[in-house]
Amino acid sequence: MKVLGISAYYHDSAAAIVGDGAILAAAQEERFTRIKHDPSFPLNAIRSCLDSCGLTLSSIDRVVFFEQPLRKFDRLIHTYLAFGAEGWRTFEPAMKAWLSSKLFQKRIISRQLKEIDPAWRGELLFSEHHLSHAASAFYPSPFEEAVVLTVDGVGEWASSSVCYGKGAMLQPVKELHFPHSLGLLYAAFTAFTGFKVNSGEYKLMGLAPYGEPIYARTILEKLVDVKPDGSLRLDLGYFDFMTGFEMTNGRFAELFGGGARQPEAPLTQREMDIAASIQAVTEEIMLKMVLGLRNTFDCPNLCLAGGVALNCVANGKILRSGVYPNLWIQPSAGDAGGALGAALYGYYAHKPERFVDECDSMHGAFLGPEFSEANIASRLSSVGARFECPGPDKAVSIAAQSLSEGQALGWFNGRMEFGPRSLGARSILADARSPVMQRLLNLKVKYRESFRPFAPAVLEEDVSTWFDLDRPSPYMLLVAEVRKELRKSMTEEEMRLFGIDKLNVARSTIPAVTHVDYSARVQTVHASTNPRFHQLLTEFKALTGAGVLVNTSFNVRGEPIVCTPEDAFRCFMGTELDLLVVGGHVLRKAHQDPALKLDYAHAFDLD
Amino acid sequence: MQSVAEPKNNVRAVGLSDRAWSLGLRALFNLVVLPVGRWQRARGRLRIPLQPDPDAQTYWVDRSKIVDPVRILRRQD
Repeated sequence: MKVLGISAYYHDSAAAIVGDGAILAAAQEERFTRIKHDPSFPLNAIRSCLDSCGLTLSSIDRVVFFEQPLRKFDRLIHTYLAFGAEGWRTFEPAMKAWLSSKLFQKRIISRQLKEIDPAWRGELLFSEHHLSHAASAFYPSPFEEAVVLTVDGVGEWASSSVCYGKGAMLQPVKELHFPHSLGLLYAAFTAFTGFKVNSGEYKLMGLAPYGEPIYARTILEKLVDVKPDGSLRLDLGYFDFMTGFEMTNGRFAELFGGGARQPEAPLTQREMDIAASIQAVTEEIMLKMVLGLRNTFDCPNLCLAGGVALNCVANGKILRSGVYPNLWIQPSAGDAGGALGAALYGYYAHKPERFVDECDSMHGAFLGPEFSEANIASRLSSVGARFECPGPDKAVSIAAQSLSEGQALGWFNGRMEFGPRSLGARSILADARSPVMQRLLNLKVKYRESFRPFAPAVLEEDVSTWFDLDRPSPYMLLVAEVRKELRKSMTEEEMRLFGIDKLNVARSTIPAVTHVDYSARVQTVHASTNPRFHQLLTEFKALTGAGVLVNTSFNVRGEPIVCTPEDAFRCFMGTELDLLVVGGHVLRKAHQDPALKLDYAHAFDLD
Repeated sequence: MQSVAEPKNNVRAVGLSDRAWSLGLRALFNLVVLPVGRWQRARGRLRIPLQPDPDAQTYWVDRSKIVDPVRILRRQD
C-alpha cells in the first residue's frame, strides 16, 4: 500500500510518500517555489515525490492531510465566544476566509490533486495535527515501544500531546489545549524581540547565551502557571494572539520594561536577557513534562516532535538530564514533518505490524529529489556554468584540498534533505578551525551579521574527540559543549566585548562552530546514510587532522535551501563561495563568466 | 509584531461582494457570537479557560479513550 501525506495552508507545506512501511520520499514546497515557508498547496513537492518513487498519483492508495480543518474551525468559534467584543477585530477576516473557502478544504484538496492527475480517484483522509507529529516521531524511530511528546503552537485544539506507541499502534493519551501553549509562549517572545513568528524562533534560541535569565521568575509568576507535571496555562491578560493581530499586549510590554524591538533594530542587552529567560523557562517546562512522563510510563524510550522539538538546546538538556536513556527526535519536527506523519498514520491505521530499523527509518533525512550526473551536466550547461567532470571520487578529493586551504565551498550531493537543516546534501562547508571563518562566511557568503555560530559536522566516530557527546546526532538536533581541553579562555578585555564581537573571539580550537557559552549544534556524519560526505570529512581529516567542518545551509538569508543544480549555481554566483561541487562536477569561481555574477545580497526578503 | 493568524488567499474563495460579507458577518457576530458567548460565560460553560487555576493538579486533558485510527481519519467526512 502506498500513502501520500500532505501538509499545507499554514506554513511549510510539504508532501511525503510511504510505501509498504518504508519512507520513500519527502520534500517541502518552498524548495521548488523558492518562497521561504511557502504555505501553498504542495503541487511541486507532490510531483517531485511521485517522480522520486516512479509513481503516478493514481497508483497512490490513500492521501492523508495532516490536520482536520473542521476541528480547527470549531476551536476558532469557541475562541470568539470566549473573548466577546474584543474578537471583532479579527472575526471578519477570519470568518470570511473560513466560510468562503477553508471549510471546503476536502473539495479544494481533491481539486488540486486532480490537477496533478485527472485520473486520480483515491481516498482522501484527515489525520490530526498532533497525531501527525506523533506519528512522524514514533514510526521512523528505532523503538518498538515509546512515549511520544509533541509540543508546538497549536493544531486543531491541542498545543501539546502525549501518545504511547507500541509496534504499529499509536494511542493518544493526553493533551494541552489552545490557547495554553508552550509554542505560542515562545512565539510571543520571538515576536517581542523583533523576530518573525514561525521562522525566527531559532534566532531567539541562538541569542539566549548572550543574556542572563533575569526575567525567568517574572515569566513564571505572571505569564504562565506550570504544574509539576509540566502542564501549563497562560494568563491570557498579557497576550493578544487569541483574537488580535499581535502576539502580546501593553501589559506584557510593561513586564519587560518597554515595547517590542522593531525588526532589524540593534539588539540590546534587554533582548538578550529576555531570550535567556524564555529559553530557561522553556527548558524547565520541557524537563518537567519529560519527568512527568517518565514517572507515568514504564518505558525508557522517548520520541519528540512539533516545532518546539527543534529547540536543540532544550533537547540537549533533556538528553543530559538522563531522565530518558533513549531519545529520538524527528528531524523535520515542524509542520512540514506533519506530511510525513500523516502518511505514516494513514499507512499504519490498517497495519498490525511494523518493521523497526535499529538506527531509524529516515535514511538520514535524505528523502528529496536527486539528479543523475548526466542531468547535472545538462542543467549546469543550460545556465552557462563552466565546470570540470573529474567524477565523484576525485571531486571529493578536490573539495577536501580546497577546504584545507581555507576556502568555502558549496556542496551539492545526492538526495535533498527533508527538514529545516542542511545535513550534507545541500550545504556550504568550510574549515571549522579557522578563526576568521565565522566572520568571513557571514559577510561574504550568508550576507548577515549573525550572533549565531555555525554548526559543526563531525565524523560519527570522532564526535567524542571534539564534543561532550557520547551518541550520534545525525540531524543537528542536539546541542553539546566543546570538550574542555579544546577550549580557550577569554581575556578580561575579550569578556567585556558585546554581542557579535564576543562571538568573533576564538574560544576553542574550532572557533567557527563554538558559541559564546562553548556550546555547539552537533551533526554526526555517518558512512551508512551519507557516504560521500563521510568520505569528504575523512579526506579532510587526512589532510588536516580534524574530522570536523562548518556545515551551514546552502542559501543566503531569506532564501530557501537550494534544490536543483541551477539553484546551487545561482547561489554560487551570487555569493563569494570559492568552489562548487555538484555530484561529480566541480565549478571554480575564477573560471566562471563574470557576466553571470548576481547581486544576491538583496535578492530575498529578510527572514 | 505579528500574530499566528493563518495566511490569507491561499485557497479559492466563494464569490460574494466585500460589502455583503461585511454586513453578514457583523450580523453574525452581534446577533449570535456575542449573546452566546455572554450566555456561556454567565453559566461557566466557556470551553476556553481564561485564567490559570491555582487549585488544579494538572492541566493535561485526558484522551486515553481508545479510538479506532480509521475513525479519526474519517472524521472530516
